[in-house]
This record gives sequence, structure tokens and C-alpha cells, in this order.
Amino acid sequence: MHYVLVFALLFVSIAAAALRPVDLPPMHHPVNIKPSKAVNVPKDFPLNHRGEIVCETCHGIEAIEDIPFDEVDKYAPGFLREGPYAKSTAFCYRCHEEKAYRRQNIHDLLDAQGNYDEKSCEYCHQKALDPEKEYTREQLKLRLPPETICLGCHLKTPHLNALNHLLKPGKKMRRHMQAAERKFSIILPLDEQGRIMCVTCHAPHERGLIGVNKPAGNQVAGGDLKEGVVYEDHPWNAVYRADKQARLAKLQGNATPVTLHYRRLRSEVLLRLSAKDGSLCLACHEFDR
Amino acid sequence: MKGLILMMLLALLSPPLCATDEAEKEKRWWEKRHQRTDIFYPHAAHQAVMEEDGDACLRCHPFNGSDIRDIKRLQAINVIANEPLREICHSCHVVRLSAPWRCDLCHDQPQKIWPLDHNFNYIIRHGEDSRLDESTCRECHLDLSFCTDCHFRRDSSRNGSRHRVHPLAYISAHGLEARFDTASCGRCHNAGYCSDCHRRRP
Repeated sequence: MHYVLVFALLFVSIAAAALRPVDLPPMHHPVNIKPSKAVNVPKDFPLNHRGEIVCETCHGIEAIEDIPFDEVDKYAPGFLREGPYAKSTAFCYRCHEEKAYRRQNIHDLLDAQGNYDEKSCEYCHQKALDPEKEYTREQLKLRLPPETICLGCHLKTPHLNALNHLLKPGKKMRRHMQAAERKFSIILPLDEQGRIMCVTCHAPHERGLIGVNKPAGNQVAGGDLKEGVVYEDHPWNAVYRADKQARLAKLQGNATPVTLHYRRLRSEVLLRLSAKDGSLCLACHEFDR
Repeated sequence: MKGLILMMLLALLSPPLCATDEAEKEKRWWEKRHQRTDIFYPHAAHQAVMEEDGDACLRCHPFNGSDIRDIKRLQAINVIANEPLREICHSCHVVRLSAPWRCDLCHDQPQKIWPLDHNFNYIIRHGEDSRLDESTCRECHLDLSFCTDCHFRRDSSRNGSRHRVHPLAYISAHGLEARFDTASCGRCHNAGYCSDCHRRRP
């Protein structure tokens, strides 16, 4: 009888351990699920014997499930199978169909006739507003504070040199910015703490939605919103890349490689002033020498 | 009298006004730099030529799209991305000489950029190197006056006779040496140097 109880307890604890949900880091793909028919898992990405997604399906590191999360080498070549990937979403699309997950460009607000869908406004505003009217920041009824609302879709660091701009400009720079606002009839809004934010430089609305004669609607012209920002290589690009690549290689180790380019802007969109001719930068920066 | 002493005491104990001004003074962007202190890029001086060439800030300060979330790594990449590139700067300032070529315009201290052997009393040993490969010297010393400022000095008080190329009153004796070894004259003088005088006094 005693032995039966011991065996029963042992069986229950083993079963409980097997059924216990796996603790995964936040924003992690679920495991122990069967991929649906819409998902095409490559043959080299192993599933378990029940055909379920497990750690080894995505990670090529041996016994990764036994390694504590903060000790996993995220820059190891096999961290993501057949990696490294220049963009993390590129790995998702190894199994998921890219087209099905492509998000709507909510900045693309106007149709061919110049009309807009109020639903698009409600991505960011609690309620669609009249583009002809002028509003205070409170009246805009944004779903999140303006300094964080972009992060719903974009990274906090969506491009190089973004992070070192999210600062509070000094008094002299603020005066220079105010002069630029008057000179070019634009707005360069700061957040509640007086810091630079994405929309200080980027205009969130498609050109034409808010009248371009209004400071809030004034922005660069000529770009294609569907095409986005377009660059062209400078003749020095090869020399520049060779120089930077050697130093980047030392820095990145096994991390996803980064390539820097020496290039010119060919076309630009959704910017309050032109970065192509530097006037956007010079709205804040001024140089004595 | 007591009032005067009190006022003096108050003046001494109150915080100095200049310190407040200093604290409030906004640092200029290059004073805030911590990445590279050995190179200075005079932005305003380049503005006109960049406009002329159709270039702007983003050429050297790239805003490439990136999905790097590791802030430390991103900051390190930003530093590398924003640094001036020697070859590109030197193409105008050293190779083509289409821009001013004074090193101290961008490099604050020559010690930071010169070869290591220059740190060890190189002035005594430079002669041999310059005779072996003068082109290496000219990579930095673009102006011949860097040599002639010493070698053409006629006063012996500073340089001593061993640094002098020509002895005093050499103008009277130079003709003979010029016939022996014209090429040695040509190392420093071009043909115009001769003809300037000889045209007048054949």
C-alpha cells in the first residue's frame, strides 16, 4: 500500500511537471502548439514528435531550454535558425506569409480623390478631427502622449541617430527653433517635458490632409509616401563602407551585421522641413565655426 | 561703519555671480562631445561647399533605418557612423588641395596624429627619413616652408650651422655646386628660382 502511494505521488509530480506551462520571456512566440495550415515551417526547422513548435524549432542552440534566458547568447550564429537576420521580422516570415501580415501605412491618409477615411484618424486620435480646424494639444485627444504614440508601430530607435535626438534642447537651441518656426511657417513641437520627439521632425499626416499653408500641415513636398525615403549612393560609398566596416566588425562580434552607407537623399516624405538640403537639421543646429 | 562691514560680509558670503553665469551658459555642441576629441569638423565653414555639391548633414550623419534595440550597441554604432572619414576629408584638404590644408583646422594637437617616431626627438633624425622617402613627409607637411623655415635661416643663433643648407654668402659660390649636381638644387628649388635672377643678371 505504501509503495502504491509513493508511485502515485511520483506519477502525479512527473505529470504536473510535464503539463506546467513553459515560462517564456515577454513577446516570445508561444511553444507547444501545432502550426496551422497557413503557416509553412521550413523542413530544417524541427518540430517535436507531436508536430508542435518547440524551442529547437526556432533556435539552433543545443539544449537552449535548459539555459537561463539572460545567459542565452543572442548573438550566437544559431540563435535564430539560419540567421543572423538583418530584420527580426525576416525570421518571422520564414514561416508566416509576409503579405498577410503587412500593416497598413496609416500615414497614407488620402485617396486619389483627396478624401480620407475617419477610421484611419482613430489609430492615433480617440475621435476623428476636422483637418480644417486648429486644435490645442489637449483637444487632439491622442490615444497616448505624443512622445510615445509612434512607438505603437515604430521602434524607439527606428533609425540611427534617433536616440541622441530625444533630448531637451537648451535655451539657445529653443530660441533658434522658434525662429525657424516663424521663418518657415512650421511647427517643431516638443513633449510635455520640453524634449524632442518623433513628431518634432516628422509630420505624421500625409501632405495635403492639413492645409500646407497651416504650420501643422506644412511639410516637404515631392516625395512618394508609398516609396518612403529614397537614397542614392555617393561616389565615396565604397571607401566609406570599407572604413566603417572594419570598425563595425570589431564592435558587433556575432551580432546581426550593420552596414553604414555614404549616400544622399533622393526623395523624402513626412518631414517638416527638408533633410535633403539640411534645412531640417539647421532648424535646431547652428554652428559658429 | 557697522553697515559697511555687514555689506562687505554679505558680499563675501553670497555666491559669486560669475559662477551662476557659467552654470547657465549653454555648452556648445563640440564642448559636449565625448566621442572623439582629436578631430574637429568646422561645420559652418563647410556649409557653402556642401550646398554647392548638393550634400547635406545626413551624408555624414546617417539616419539609416535600423531595428537594433540594444541601446549600448546602437550608441557605439552611432559614434562610428558620425565620425569624419580621413580619406574623404583628405581628398579635398590634402590630395586635391582644393580646401585649406592647415592640419590644425581640424586636428587640435599634432601629437595626436603624427607618427609615433615623432615623439622621440625626431628633429635630429628627420633628415635621413626625408632623404629616403620625401613623399611620406609630404603626406602631412604639404608646405615646403615647413622645411625652409629652418633650413633657409641665415642666422645661426637658433639652428646652428649644421641645420643650414647653404653657408653664408652662398649666393656667390652657388654656381659651381649647381654645375656639379643640379639635381640636388632641384630637390628644393624649381627652375623659376634660378631664372628669376639669371634672367635679370645673365
